[in-house]
Amino acid sequence: MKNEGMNCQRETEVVLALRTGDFTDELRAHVAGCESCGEALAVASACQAAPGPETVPDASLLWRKMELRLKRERTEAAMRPAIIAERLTTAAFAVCAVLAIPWLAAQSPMLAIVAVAALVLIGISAASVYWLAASKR
Amino acid sequence: MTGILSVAAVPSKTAADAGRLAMTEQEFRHFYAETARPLKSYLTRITGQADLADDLLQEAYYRMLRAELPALDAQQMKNYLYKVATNLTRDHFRRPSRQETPAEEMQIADPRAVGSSASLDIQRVLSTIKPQEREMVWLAYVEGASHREISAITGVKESSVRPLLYRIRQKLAALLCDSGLDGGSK
Repeated sequence: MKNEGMNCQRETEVVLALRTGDFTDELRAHVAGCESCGEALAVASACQAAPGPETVPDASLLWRKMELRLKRERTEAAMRPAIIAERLTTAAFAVCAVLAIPWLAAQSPMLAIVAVAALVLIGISAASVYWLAASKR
Repeated sequence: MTGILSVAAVPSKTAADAGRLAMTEQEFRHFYAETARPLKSYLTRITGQADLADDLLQEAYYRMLRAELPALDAQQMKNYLYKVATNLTRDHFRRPSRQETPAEEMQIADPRAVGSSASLDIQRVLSTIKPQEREMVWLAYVEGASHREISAITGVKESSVRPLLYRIRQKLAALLCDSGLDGGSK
């Protein structure tokens, strides 16, 4: 067999024969005379001798979990534009309100005080709503 | 991994964005039955932690089923699954909160990951080589993956797989000989 100085081309054959137990006399004779395949057999035997996992997650349960996760992710993705629009609207409202206060103060100081109080109340309410929504998520 | 997988499970379509998974439940069950145990063995050996291997396995299947893939045959799907699992494992150990190297944590991390004494011995031997080397060893000498498949899964250049495997194999053979684990293989 062509050895190419490093790995024999029959190494994969040796590994697969070990897996399937289909070791022909010819292959056994080759391994006996091939250092590369001998080493490959030693390594593969040791690795394959280790027992496999006792359990794997249940396929049905995993499928359900994946379906639920997919559904949740798609809902979140669908909600993303609405959330962005909502935040932009809030930011625009806040900017307009802040710009309006000096104008209101020029008209009537009392009106400005009422407007600031209203803004603070709106701000607190909005923050509570966001906090509740975030904690639910 | 020639000849070890005979499922006909092929992703129906690249429909991740259509809001469904890329296989039917039946296709998934078939594919899972063929691939879950070998994949968990692989993940357990390269991470040394059975619980982590379970988590990574589940995430790997999900990522695979969500991916926009061209039509692949079962073998290509399996290779893709291993690639995803390998990348997830590397990402896991790359995270700042997971500074420990898997190699150093393998023995003490989770005895359930290994089980028997033969398993413990091979785990001890594997823990002495680098994580990427463990990936390559497992793929080559347990899964029987070709150099091209190993290259696709681990990201190592195909031309580098042969010399790397040669060096790792020599190192492991010597370690196995020292540990008395090479007996009777020939």
